[in-house]
Amino acid sequence: MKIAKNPHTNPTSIKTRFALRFLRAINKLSNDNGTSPRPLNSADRRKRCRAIRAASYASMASAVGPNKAWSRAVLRKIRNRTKEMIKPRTRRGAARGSMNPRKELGLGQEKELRELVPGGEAMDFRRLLNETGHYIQCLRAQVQVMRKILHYSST
Amino acid sequence: MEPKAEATQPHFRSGEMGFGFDEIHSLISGPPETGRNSFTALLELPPPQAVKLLVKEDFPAKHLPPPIFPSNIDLIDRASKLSFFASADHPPGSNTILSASSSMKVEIVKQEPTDSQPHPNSSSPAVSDQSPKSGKRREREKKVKESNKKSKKVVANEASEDGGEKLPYVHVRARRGQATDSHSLAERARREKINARMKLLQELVPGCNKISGTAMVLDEIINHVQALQHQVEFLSMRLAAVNPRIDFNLDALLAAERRSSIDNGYMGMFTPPIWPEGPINGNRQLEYQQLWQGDELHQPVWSREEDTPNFITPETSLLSYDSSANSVQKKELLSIVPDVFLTLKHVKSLQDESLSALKSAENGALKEVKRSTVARMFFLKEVDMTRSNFTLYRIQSLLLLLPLTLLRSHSAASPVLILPSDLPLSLSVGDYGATATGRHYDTTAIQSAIDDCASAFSLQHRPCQVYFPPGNYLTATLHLKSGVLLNISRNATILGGTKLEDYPEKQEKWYVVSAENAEEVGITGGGRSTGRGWSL
Repeated sequence: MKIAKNPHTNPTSIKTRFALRFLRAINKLSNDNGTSPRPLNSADRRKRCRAIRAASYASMASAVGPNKAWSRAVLRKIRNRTKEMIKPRTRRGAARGSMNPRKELGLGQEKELRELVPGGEAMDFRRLLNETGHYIQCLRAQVQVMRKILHYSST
Repeated sequence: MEPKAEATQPHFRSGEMGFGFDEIHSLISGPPETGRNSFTALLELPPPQAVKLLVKEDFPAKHLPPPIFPSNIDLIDRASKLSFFASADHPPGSNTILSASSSMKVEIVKQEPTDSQPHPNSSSPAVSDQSPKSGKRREREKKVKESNKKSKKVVANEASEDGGEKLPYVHVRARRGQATDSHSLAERARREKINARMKLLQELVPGCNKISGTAMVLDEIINHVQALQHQVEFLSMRLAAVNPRIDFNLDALLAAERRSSIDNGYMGMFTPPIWPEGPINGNRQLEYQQLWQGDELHQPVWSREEDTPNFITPETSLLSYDSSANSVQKKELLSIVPDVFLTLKHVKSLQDESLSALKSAENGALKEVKRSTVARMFFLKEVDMTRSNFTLYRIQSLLLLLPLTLLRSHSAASPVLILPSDLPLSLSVGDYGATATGRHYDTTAIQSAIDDCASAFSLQHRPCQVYFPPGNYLTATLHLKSGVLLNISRNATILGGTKLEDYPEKQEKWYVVSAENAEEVGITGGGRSTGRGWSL
């Protein structure tokens, strides 16, 4: 039987797309920073670190596509951030979706999980578990690709 | 499966792109570790001649459930409820997805004898041939039924057509002794589904298989996600330091990919917003941090940081961090995590390490600061280091983030790079993918943990530990780097590999753990490390 590779669920293709976008992002960042070769021990380095991290999450979310709720949430946040940089916006509370009361476990783990997974606030518990599974896989792929990029750019 | 899938690959890749894409491919794809199972073969589909590195499968086989599982459950659930919703929500390729996933699942069922879940091997091949969708559903329900002691049976409606993804409704039958009103039945159905998903998540997170009980599993999942996010942060820090220059013809490649990808809507919209991140000032970056971490624990800390703008000189910044922020934040953390955990010995070794690391520190004023913080940790002295190790990591990672936020919020000031917190960072190799079975090589996982530790030490001058949870770790030669302390717990054993190629060429260098040109290294804990020379 011929296996159809759905780009939204096949990790290889996700890794490819993520790698491409992330490399492009890093390239643009380093071109924008331009002349200063190594901002040692300064706030620029922190900025760069944060920018790279944000770029990696953004590239992963766009590589995954709009099929998953967490990637949609990530992309939405990015778009809102860029709009907000143009005009300030008032802080709004996150909408709380319906929680499944039967599965409310001790020590607020469910709440913590919702906070960890982007877009997790407005889902029921089942969907949260789904999204967590996919999110873990994509995070893993992200870490692998980043490590390889680091390995190859430093040798 | 592999040759067919390979055939689909090159037709759009190497033909069109030429040299540039092959290079990218070499970055992205890893050498296929054939012979494991067909599932990993699927993952390594890019043609092996261009294959080098990035997609290397270094995760053990048993931690790879089919990635389609979550979406399958989602599909099935949606299909069971609202058929129109299912058809509207998924692209027309989903039929093939389902057939692909069912076949993949069958393959995994056949080739994973060590899987903890009882797969109905005999039924699956026959079942999946007929109707992928309903067969898979029956399979899953059988799994759920077998693994769940409750007597609840969910039978898929057989009226669904072959290959169709719509199951109009689900028959639920109650066994003897169960309440039969619709409310409790529905409740039980929901609980079954949640338990099924938890099982899948258990497979996904390493080290979770032996734990029973939903609370602990959720704990592990949360820790795993946090660990992965911290790894991303580490790696981005290192990438920022390295400043890579990669001169591929990326734009052409991305344009070509754009043509062949499905999600056209999001791509153009979203690539521009990445760029403004570069020149953003400190406050925005703080919000980004809130975005990605999103932890409520962090937010009050950060907002408080913003309000105190008086950290100008390194000395005052560090000292005031210690006095005001430290007590406040530490109290917060202590209240949230009840048991805090450093044995006296651990703290002492901490202190020794930090003091020795300090000798290479540039700023002499830090010594007093470090002594005072370590003294404070002394008074926290606690005993239990067993299960609280991952909470240790969590706490330390939180405390790691605190000084980062501190420095972040005052980008105008020029704080010292050496962070005021000298708590040793402890990374568990379990988070990096080590299996601890003793049958599979954990070399890459352990080496990655060591590398991350070394980078933390070199970038931040903080001592770092690599922690080995109980288990047997089969590995080839490990190269310790500066500043790394291996903490092997009492029931953990490091086993040297028995293959000759595990070790470097010269016979004098046949060590399981080797440290060359490294300083501040050590091995502690109480576990064992055996070379198993007789098996070579």
